Amino acid sequence: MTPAPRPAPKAIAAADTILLGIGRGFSWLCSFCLLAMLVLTAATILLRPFGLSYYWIFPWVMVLFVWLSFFGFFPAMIFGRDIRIDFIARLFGDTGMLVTRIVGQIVVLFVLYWLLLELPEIVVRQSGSIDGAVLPWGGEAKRRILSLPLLLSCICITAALLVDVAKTFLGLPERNVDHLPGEVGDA
Amino acid sequence: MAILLFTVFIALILLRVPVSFAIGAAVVATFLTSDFSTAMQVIPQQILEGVNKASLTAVPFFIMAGNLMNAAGVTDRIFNFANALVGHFRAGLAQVNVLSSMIFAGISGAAVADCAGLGAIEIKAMRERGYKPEFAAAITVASAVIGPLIPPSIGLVIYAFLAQQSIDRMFLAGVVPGVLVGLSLMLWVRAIAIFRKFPTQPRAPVREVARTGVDGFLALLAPAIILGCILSGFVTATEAGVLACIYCIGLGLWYRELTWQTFFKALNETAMMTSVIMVIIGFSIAMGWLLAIEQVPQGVADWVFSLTESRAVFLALMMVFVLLIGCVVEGVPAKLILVPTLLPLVDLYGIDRVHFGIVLQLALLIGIATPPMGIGLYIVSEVGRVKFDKVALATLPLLIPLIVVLIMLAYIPALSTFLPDLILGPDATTLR
Repeated sequence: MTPAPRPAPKAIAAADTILLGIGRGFSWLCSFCLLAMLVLTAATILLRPFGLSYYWIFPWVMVLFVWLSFFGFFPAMIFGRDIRIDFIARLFGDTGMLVTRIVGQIVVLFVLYWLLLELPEIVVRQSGSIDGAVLPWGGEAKRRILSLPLLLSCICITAALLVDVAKTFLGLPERNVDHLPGEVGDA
Repeated sequence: MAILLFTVFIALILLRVPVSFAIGAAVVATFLTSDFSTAMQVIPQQILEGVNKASLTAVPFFIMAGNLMNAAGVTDRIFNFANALVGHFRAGLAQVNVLSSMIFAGISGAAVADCAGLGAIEIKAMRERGYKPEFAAAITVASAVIGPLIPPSIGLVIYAFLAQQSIDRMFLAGVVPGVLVGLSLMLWVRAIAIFRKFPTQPRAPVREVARTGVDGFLALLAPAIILGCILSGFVTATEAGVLACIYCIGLGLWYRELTWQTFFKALNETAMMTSVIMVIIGFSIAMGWLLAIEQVPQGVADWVFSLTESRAVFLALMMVFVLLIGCVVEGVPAKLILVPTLLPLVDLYGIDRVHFGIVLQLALLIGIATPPMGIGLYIVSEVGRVKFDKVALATLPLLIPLIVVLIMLAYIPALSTFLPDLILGPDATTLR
């Protein structure tokens, strides 16, 4: 008989599952933003020959673009789509991977600490409206809707990082170590 | 300050820290040790501002076009047509590999899509015909360099944004260099075929060429449609990206190969890739702000200019420097750091910014085929099931034609500027 899992790993596994679910949700949100950008921009092109244009389309495309960028920040991290260079760590085997895992956690938490310290204040201070981003019920969308996804992603990345720190202490493996070192568009 | 910034950044990326956070940590550390330690709110503000740029909205659509081409079966048709056309040449499938990349480049703006999509088909076909797997993978990654040169190109959109150049001018400037890279690789493969025994295949009958041509005709039309629409002023670069996506969706439906599942997979892949790029851009804009405030680019410019006043020497130094950077830093972050730093020098030496952009683009692109950070090498070794070190070794000789073209582009500016000047007229805002 296999021993029952200890409570700590069980709690961590549950937290991991929840975070993966949120990551998947954010990832779907990103895809929706991209699809909406595609549809709205296509509508602009198709309506142009008929002399039709809606001034609210472009501001909303920009809002969707910013959302796409920031909502994707968390799933990109949690699903290992960020760009990392593994070769030096791999040269030193398991020790190299463990040391760089801890260094990575410290560095990411250091950056997130400063972002999370400043972002809430920035969100609160952004009281102005986005020109042209009209809402169906009247008025224009507030500028803070642009920064909220970044704040949410930073909070989720922090939570995922803390789970990973706990996993490191318990000797559990990290989630994405076999991903390609980068898959970005320029290249 | 700049030394701290770059040392922290390089050290952290070598320690497996995600690139965006390596930039972020370097910026935060530099802020904390500078006079701006009380102005930390600038960092998230710059990230937010950096992403909210209209000219960058073209990026996801050109990534998506590449992903949709793979999902819609366009890639297979391009390969079949190229195979019927040049497959009977010496080292035929290697030539097919290069030609396919040139055609693919006309719709896709990313080398990654070329390596992962076309690469899978090409390496498999070459292996089956008896080519060494490492050579098949090597020629695939070398020819993928063409993708981000021939328009549309995500890298050129980002450069245009950073160097304040028009996207259509940058796109036109990439055409001749992209074709030159393709031709140089084809010539190189032909030359090594004299000494190495590559498998041969019979010339395809005219009927076969016509059949694959008709089959791939709609895919072959795409580059002309995209560039034509931009140059005619009918659409913006972003809208051209959308047109490319719609065109690929149409082709996928016409070929009956695009399903909801593959469509949503392409959509999700694109969204993730875009987010990674945009977050790096956001952090890099914060870094750029710091560099600008501290007048680092001007300092670098004065220092380099004190070493040499020769434009030719500067170009040579710059190429070596960028090639080395490209070996360890991925293209997007490298460009985001290098462009603001090098632009004052470029202006000081009277180099056309469009010309510089193309040289920089190719020099950084060569990085995808060089270890240790060659993304292309990792992808082709993965899709081709070949050991990384074997591919890296097999790719080394193929870097020679790429570097020859790079030198030609650096010292013959007309290769980049002739076409945009001819079609759009000389750019009065650029120093010559």
